[in-house]
Amino acid sequence: MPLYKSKPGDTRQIKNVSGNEKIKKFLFSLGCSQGEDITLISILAGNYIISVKNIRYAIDKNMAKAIELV
Amino acid sequence: MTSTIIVGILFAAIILYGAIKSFKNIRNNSCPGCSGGCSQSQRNSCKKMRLEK
Amino acid sequence: MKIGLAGNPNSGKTTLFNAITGKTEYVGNWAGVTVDKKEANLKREYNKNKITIVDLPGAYSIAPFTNEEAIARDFVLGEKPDAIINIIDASNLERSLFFTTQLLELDIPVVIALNKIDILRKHGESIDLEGLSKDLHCEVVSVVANEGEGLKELLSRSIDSADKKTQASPDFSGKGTEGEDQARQAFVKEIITGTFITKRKANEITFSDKVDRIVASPYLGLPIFALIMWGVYSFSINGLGGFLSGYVNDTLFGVVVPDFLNGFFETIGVNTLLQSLIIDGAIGGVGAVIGFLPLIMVLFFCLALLEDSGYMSRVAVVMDRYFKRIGLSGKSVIPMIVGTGCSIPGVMAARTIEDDNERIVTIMLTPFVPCSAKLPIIALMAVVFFPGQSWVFPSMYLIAGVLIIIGGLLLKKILKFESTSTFILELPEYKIPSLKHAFRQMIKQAKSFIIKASTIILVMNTVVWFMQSYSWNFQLATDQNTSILAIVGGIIAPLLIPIGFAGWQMAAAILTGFVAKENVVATFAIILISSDAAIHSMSGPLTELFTPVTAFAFLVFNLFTPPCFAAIGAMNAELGSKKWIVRAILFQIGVGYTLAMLITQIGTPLIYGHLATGFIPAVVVALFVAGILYYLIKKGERIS
Repeated sequence: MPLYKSKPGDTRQIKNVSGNEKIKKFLFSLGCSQGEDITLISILAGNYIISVKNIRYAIDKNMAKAIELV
Repeated sequence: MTSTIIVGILFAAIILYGAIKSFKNIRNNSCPGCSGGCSQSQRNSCKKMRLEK
Repeated sequence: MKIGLAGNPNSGKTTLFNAITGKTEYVGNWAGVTVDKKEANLKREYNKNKITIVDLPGAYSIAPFTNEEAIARDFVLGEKPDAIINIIDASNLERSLFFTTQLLELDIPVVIALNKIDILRKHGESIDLEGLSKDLHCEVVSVVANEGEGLKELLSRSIDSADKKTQASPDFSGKGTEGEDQARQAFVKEIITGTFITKRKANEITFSDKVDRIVASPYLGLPIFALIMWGVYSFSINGLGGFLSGYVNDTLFGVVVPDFLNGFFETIGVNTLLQSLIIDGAIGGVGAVIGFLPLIMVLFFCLALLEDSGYMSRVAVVMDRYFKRIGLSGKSVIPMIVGTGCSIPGVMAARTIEDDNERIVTIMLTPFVPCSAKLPIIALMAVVFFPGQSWVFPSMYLIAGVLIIIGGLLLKKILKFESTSTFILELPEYKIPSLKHAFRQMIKQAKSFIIKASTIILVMNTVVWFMQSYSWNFQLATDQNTSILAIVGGIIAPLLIPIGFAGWQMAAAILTGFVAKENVVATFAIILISSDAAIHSMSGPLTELFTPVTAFAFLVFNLFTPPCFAAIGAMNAELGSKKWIVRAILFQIGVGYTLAMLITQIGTPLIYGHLATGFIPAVVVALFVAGILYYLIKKGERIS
C-alpha cells in the first residue's frame, strides 16, 4: 500500500520507491529505501510529515504516492 | 586655507575608498557589507554547471 | 593548508566556520542556508600557520541532487583539500554516515566532528566515540559548535591528520557493484548497532510534532504566520525600534552632529563650500539613512530568534499548497524568507530548487520581498504621511505576498510550464532560540548597514550633492531647477507622469535607488535640505511633493520595480542568460509600474474626489499593458 493511504501514527517497512532515478537516489541518501522503517507522523496542509531514522521530513502527496509500503 | 586642504584631502580619501570598495563589490554582485554575492571562481563554476545540463 | 567543512544540510557547518574563523556568515536553523562555498583563514589562536577553511553547502551524498550540492562535490573532488572536517549532527548519525563513508574513499584525511552533542545527551542517547573511530579508521571529536566546545581539539587533530596525507577507505564488500549503495547502507547500519545507544523510538509523537499540528494545520497555519510576522514588525517598527530611530533621526543627526561639525569647521576655518558638501551632502544623506539603524537592528534581532527556533521550515510547509497553484512549491518560500534581509542571498538561495522553470520564476519573484535596504524608504514615508498608523509596514509585506501570487500566476500563464519538482524538506526539531545567536546576527546586520552607509551610500550622496549644486557649465546653480540633477531627473520624469509623480526630484531619487535602495531616502534629504523642517517631519518639505496617496504609490514603485544593481547582477548570474535577465527586469518594471499607477489613479479620485495628474496618459499606459499581457498569454497558449 502506498504511503499516502496509511494512517498517522503507523510505522511500516518500505517495500519500494518508484519515480525517476534522481529522486530515488536522493531519497536513498536520506535513508528512504527498501526495508527501512518509516512512520507517518501527521498530514499537515496537504503535506505528509514522515519520520525516517528519527528525522522528520515534510513531503508532498506526489512523493507520498511514490513510496510503497509493505 | 591649510585646514580646507587637509579636510578636503581626508574627505576625498574616504570617498575614493568607498568608491573602489563599492565598485569591486558590485562586480561580484554584492554590496559593501553584504554577505551575499559570489566570487569569480564560483560564477565560473555556476556557468559550467549550467552548460553541463 | 586547506581544510574543507563538509556534511549534511543543517548540521552546523557555517556555525563551526564562523566560530573558528571569526567570520559572521549567515546561519539559519533550516536546510540549505549556505549555497556557495566560503573561504576564510583560521583564527591564529588555533594554529600559527596560515590555514584556509572552506565552508561548503550541505549535501546528503556525494552524488549531487541540486546545484548547491554539486558545489560541495566539485570542491572535494577538484580542489583536493588537505583535510576534510565532516560535521555530523549527532542526533542524525545514521543518515550522516552514508555521506561520511563516501568522503572516506577520496584518500583525503577525514576528521569527524560530532556536533550538537549536548542535544544528544539531553535525549538520553550516547555514541561510542572510540568504537566509531575504530570502525571508520578516522578521528572522531565531539563538539558543540555554537558554544565553542571541543573546537581546539578538533582543529589540532585535523591538522595532525592532514599531515598524514592519506586516508584508509571503509572496509565493506560490494564496492563497484550495482548494489554498492545498499552495501554501504548495510555497512553503516552495522556500525550504528555497535556504537549508537538510543532509547527514543522513531514513531513516538514528540512535543515538536504536537506544535507542528497546530502551526502547520490547514486552517490555522496561515493566520498564525501572519500574526507572528505582524507582531515582529509592529514591535520593531512601531515599538522599540521606531522609538530609538526617532531619537537618532531628530536629535543625533538632526541637531547634535551637524551643530558640532559646523562649529568645528568654522573654528578651523574650512571653506564654506566644502563645509556644505560634508554636512549637507555626506552627513545629511548618510545621517538620514543611519537614523533607521536601530529599527533594523531590533527587527533582525527578532527575526533571528524566530529563525533559530526552527519555525521557518514550517512556513515552507504551510505555503507549499498555495505555491503549488502557481507552479512553485514550498521550496520557493526559503529564498523569499532569506530575501527579507537582502535580495542577493535570497536570489542565490533559489539554487536549492531542482526544477529549472521553478527556479527561474522564484528568482524573478524573490526581489518583490522588501529587503532591509527598502525599510528606510517605508519608514520615512510612514512617518511623514501616515504617522501613528501601524498598518503601513504590514501592508507592504501583504502587497509583496499578493504580487508574488499574481506574478507567479502570470508567469505560469506566459511561460506555460508544468511543475515537475517534488517537495521534500527536512524539519528540524524546535528549540529555544539562542539570544547569543540573535545578538550576533543583529550585530552582523548593523555592521553591514554601517559599512554600506559609509561606502556606497556616502559616495552616491557626494555625487548627488555635486549634481544638485552645480549646473551644466560647472557654475554653482542659483536655482536648484537648473542643476545637473534636475536635468538628468527631468529626462525620465515624463515617464513617471502616468503614476502621478510630477517633478524631477522623484525621478532623481528613484534613479539613485537603483545603486542602493537606501539612497532614495538620502537623496530626498539632500535635495530638500534647504527647507527649514527636517524631511521626516510631518509638515516637512516632502508633503509638497506628495499627497498621502502618491506617497503610497511612490513606496510601491520603489519596492516592486527591479532591485538595486547588485541584486540585478545576482539575478543575472543565477539566471545565466541575457534573454532571461531582460525578461525578468521587464516583468518587474511592468508589475511595479502598473501597481503604482493604479494606486494613484484609483486612489486619488476615491479619497480626494478629483482626478490625479496624468490620468489620460495613465489610461493609455493601462491599455498598452493589458494589450501586451493579452498577447503574451495567447502566445503562451499557442506554444502549449
